[in-house]
Amino acid sequence: MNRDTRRSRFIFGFLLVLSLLLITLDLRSGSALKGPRSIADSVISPIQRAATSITAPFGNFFSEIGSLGSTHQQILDLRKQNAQLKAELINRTNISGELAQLKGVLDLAGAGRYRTVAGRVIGMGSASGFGQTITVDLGSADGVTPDMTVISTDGLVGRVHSVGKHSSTVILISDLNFKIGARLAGTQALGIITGEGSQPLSLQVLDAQVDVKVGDQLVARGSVGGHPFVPGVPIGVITEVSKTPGALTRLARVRPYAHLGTLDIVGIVVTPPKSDPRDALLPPAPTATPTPIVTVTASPTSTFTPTPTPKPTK
Amino acid sequence: MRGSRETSAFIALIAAYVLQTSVIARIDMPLGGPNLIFVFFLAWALQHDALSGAVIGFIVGLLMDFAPPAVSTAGVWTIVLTAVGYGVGALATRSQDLGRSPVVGWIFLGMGLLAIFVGRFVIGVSIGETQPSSLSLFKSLLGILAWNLLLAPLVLWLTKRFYRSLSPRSELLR
Repeated sequence: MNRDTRRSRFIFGFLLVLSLLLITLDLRSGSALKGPRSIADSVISPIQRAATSITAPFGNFFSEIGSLGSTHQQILDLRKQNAQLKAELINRTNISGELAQLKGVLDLAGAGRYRTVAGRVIGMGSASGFGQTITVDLGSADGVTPDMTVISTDGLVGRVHSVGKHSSTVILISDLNFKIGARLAGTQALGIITGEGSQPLSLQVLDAQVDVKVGDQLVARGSVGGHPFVPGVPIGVITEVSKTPGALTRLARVRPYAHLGTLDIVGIVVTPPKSDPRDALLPPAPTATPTPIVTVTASPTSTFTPTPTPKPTK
Repeated sequence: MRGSRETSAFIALIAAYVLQTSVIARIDMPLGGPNLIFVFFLAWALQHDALSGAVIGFIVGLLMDFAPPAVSTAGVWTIVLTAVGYGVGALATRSQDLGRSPVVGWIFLGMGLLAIFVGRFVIGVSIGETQPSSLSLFKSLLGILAWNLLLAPLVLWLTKRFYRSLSPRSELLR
């Protein structure tokens, strides 16, 4: 018995050391464990794909129901939305819903002159609050490489983290490690958006003098060469502005346009646009009557708005 | 007999993983929803001793670290689940005289969930991962405990039946 516990303690210790070794290896060089990851990927993702295609009709149904459950505390306004959702649930069959999403992704990409490949979400790792990730059934065979922008019908979804042959893992904008440079539509002020897990995204506007209001829209600023982020993708809308007098930056909360909880079809931007589409891809503002009172900024914006129409440089 | 039992348990683990990532996680539930992998792992470890618990934890951890859509540092889940598996297995062997009451198993499973959460948090902090605000931490702890304890009786019952059917005289009964 004693020998038995000693043996099991030894093996336990060995497994712990092995795990520590894995952590060290992965932290020191990210590429060392690529082999095991791609093996796991090629074994698991075909099963995930099969499971998704079998359960897709129920999955869609449940995810709609789920969003109904979380809204029941928000009263009148959302009750109307509930009714709409229910009506949608009855009206749309699975396939027509998918078609619309696919078309939306293509439309958004078309308006921005991106070239995208559309794929289906086959796995989600967001349960239990550790890391917000999805698996998409597109891989290196479809031209996907790490650090590409992922969009849905409504806006930015995330960026590609790792790629297998026929599947890739995407970090969602809500992930704690997600950061993106954003631009306030209209004022062109720059900020940094950070994922906050289950909470809304947080925005840090770099210039404390800029006027930031609830309802302001944000688009991706874009990275050099379009990786990891192509410019102009709609990100979200400001829902709350923190009052931080005297601070060097301004803080705000942002609700993403993409419905991250119920993603089904997403697009991966394979070729970034030739020129920045600026604010052209934003959805129409719900109430377009902000009536600017600030006299100094009012005249520049009115002269600014015609210019964003992209002018081909060549 | 033993080999076939372990093989079927492994297939069940893969099935639980795929079910979790492709079906359950996609349902938008308040507080995150249940995690079938945790419950299955703990129920499985509860049927074994400390050593087997640690080995099971190591295997489940490897799966969670390497299989898509994992992006966290490799080895993080492995170390947490190995330690928790060892502890839960040891608890299960020591408390045999408490009888095989389902309530005891359920409480142990709850303790295991708590240990997983705390362990993951501690490891995450020590390797410098970005941590969520205390409010979202509290929410995810609440979600993990509530949803999984709700799911636990069914999974516990299923694993127990599964083990009885494959080996009527488990080595735990001795």
